[in-house]
Amino acid sequence: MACVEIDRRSGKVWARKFTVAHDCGLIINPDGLKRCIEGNVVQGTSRALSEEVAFDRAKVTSVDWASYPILDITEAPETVDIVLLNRPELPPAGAGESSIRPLAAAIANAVFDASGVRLRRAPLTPERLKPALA
Amino acid sequence: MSERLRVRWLGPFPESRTIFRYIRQAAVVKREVSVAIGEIDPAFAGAARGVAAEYEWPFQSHASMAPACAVVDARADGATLWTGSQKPHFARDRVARALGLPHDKVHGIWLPGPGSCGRGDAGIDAASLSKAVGRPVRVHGMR
Repeated sequence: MACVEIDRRSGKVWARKFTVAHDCGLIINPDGLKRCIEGNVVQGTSRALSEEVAFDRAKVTSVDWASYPILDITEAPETVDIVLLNRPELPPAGAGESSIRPLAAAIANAVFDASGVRLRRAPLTPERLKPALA
Repeated sequence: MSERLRVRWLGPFPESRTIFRYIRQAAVVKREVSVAIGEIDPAFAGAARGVAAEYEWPFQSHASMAPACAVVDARADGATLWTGSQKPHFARDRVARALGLPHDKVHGIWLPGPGSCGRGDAGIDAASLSKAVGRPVRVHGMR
């Protein structure tokens, strides 16, 4: 679940808080799992809000971190609230990349809830959101 | 060396701005249902409410934060690999294959690195070079 702030003047989204419930069967290393989920949330936010490889008809034009912007520290979520659902009766399942999957949908749903604007093309950049807010 | 390759590109390619229009207009070469549980068409036909939407997701980079790096000390009876690879156990197996050693004679030591999405493994190059010169070798890509 995502909680977002939208700057209506710029169209910029700050995904400030996430609540993540995680069920991967038996949990062996809860601290490692929490760190893993936090990494998923930050990278997932970056992919939902910033990342897009650009190319012209001949070559890729996103060749460095300036032309391929990723989330920076000022745009990172303020809070990641994690609820671990330990299931000792089940075998341990993979947890490495699970929580990145619903991130963009959670952010887009929160943007819709806050503004009434439904964007179906990622990333949700200010260039896409600002005209839709007008 | 790569300049000597004779390449014939299929095209014309679209630019990223028009990629989704290009994809939608492209000919379908294969349709596949990977999992089918129940009767899908009647279930849709009989649904109380239908929801249809299209979503566009861009190509996103699998770039590491810094170039690949590995150190290998290859000896006649075994080898040691230092790697930041996402999958050090597979990197160990590849180095063992490259050196012609059994897997249990190669010790892979993982160290924190800049990520290894895509091309993040310099271990095989380091292994081959170390074997050739008989000393530990570090291979570190340039930015």
